[in-house]
Amino acid sequence: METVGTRIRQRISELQLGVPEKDIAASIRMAPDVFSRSLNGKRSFTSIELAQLAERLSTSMYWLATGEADPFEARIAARHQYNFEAGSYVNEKDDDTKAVLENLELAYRQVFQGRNDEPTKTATAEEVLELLGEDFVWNFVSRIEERLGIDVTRVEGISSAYSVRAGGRYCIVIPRSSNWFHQNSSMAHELGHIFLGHFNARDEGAEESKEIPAFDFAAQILLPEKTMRTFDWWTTGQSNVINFLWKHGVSTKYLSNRLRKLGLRVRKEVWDLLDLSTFDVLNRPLEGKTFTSIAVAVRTQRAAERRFPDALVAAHMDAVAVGKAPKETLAWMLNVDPETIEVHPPQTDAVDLDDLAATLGLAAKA
Amino acid sequence: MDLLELVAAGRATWCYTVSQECAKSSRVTGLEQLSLAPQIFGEPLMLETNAEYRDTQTFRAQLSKPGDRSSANLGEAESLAIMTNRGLGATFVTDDNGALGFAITHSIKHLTTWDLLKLLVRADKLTRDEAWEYVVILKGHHRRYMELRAQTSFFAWLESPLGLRFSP
Repeated sequence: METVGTRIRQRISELQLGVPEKDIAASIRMAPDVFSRSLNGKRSFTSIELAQLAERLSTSMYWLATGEADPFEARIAARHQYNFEAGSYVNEKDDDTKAVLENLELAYRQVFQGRNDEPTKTATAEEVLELLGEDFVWNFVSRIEERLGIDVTRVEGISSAYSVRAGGRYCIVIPRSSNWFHQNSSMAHELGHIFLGHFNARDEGAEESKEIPAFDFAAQILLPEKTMRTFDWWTTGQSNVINFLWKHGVSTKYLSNRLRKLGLRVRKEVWDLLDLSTFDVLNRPLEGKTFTSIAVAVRTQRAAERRFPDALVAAHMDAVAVGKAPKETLAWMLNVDPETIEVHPPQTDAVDLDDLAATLGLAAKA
Repeated sequence: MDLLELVAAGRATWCYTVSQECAKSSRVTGLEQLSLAPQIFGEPLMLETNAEYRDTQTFRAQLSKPGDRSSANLGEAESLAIMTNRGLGATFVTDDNGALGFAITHSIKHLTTWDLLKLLVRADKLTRDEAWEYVVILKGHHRRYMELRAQTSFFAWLESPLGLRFSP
């Protein structure tokens, strides 16, 4: 029969850590002989030791203990930071990103109790585009939440976008920044991961077989082929290109890549324009622009705001009010000092201690 | 430990993780008396079923705060998972505010160290001055209970039928 010790040894072997068991023991502050006895079934691991081992071995405590996947454990669709020097997708999250995602998972788990192991319903980019509706990009976050039922979190401290399934809900997490155009492409990319069914694979690693379809999905959402082919890229003036960028909420680089991918015939002046940074292009004074610098500032400020899904914040407010969740998680989401959240913790009922003393056989005071 | 034995021996138990943490703590200078705990609580209860493991994780999440390590609150969560899954009908004894809040909202009978001191005073096993000394040693007067903030309020509470009031 497979034991906890077998699974731990299996995981150490899978990870090819190349370190002796005594070093693993030391990393979780267990004496080598106690660790060895526990691995061999002569002593049980405590929950604390299993939790520390799970962290060290990048797995779940529940799996180590039972050999089964935890249906309530949070999942990440694919981690997709690309390391251009190494030419591969980076699977390891930096410490800040890890901390943010753990806090977010905790926030969901504290107030939503749904399972995370049920298959995701898939959809094509065209179907998702239809659901998002006309001119969705102006209110992309609220359209995703209201029409697709997917939460969106915008927070600092993460190195790239992620999609998380926690508490039975989906949440796209994007880095807080001034670049709304990057946020739009990140959100569309994460929608790709969700609707292409990448949560259905147990493997959370980023790989080309997931990333390339997600990039294509995003492009179909933000710059559908029909729209791209309808626009006359050969004769159009600079201001029309700039207005197109503004309307579709993408970066110069993103548009440039899409034009190349579709093999469209484009005038040299347009390529030159798209070589510039998005902010340079949008902020240059030019006749025929359909938007003002104030509009750019508004869009920029909005992208830089920290935000958590209203449903998540509301659920925490309800839970904190009745003592079902600590106020620190709500304070983290709101970025405020927990002490400023005024809640009255539930008071304990008085226990009849004299009765209890009598039950315990202790003589009560007369 | 002698007072704990008086209240708990033969009628109390603990979970495995708490027992192991206690054993570790007993090796710390000044806490050697904790090595007597196994004589009071006996063989610890172990997590047995997948549901108990799952609930331990769920309860740990509910007790945790952002930034807590994945191993934080596991002793309390394990105890609560065993109690609720096995329908023990037992009284949960803890001084952890989060675990107390959990017990209150889940209608689990619960007591604190301060309740036990009050019980012992009312049962003439401890004088009220001795009880106050324990409050000070255990830094109860620094906790957010109105009644523990001063000796006079503590003495008044010893005489009253009311529970402790936790101030936000």
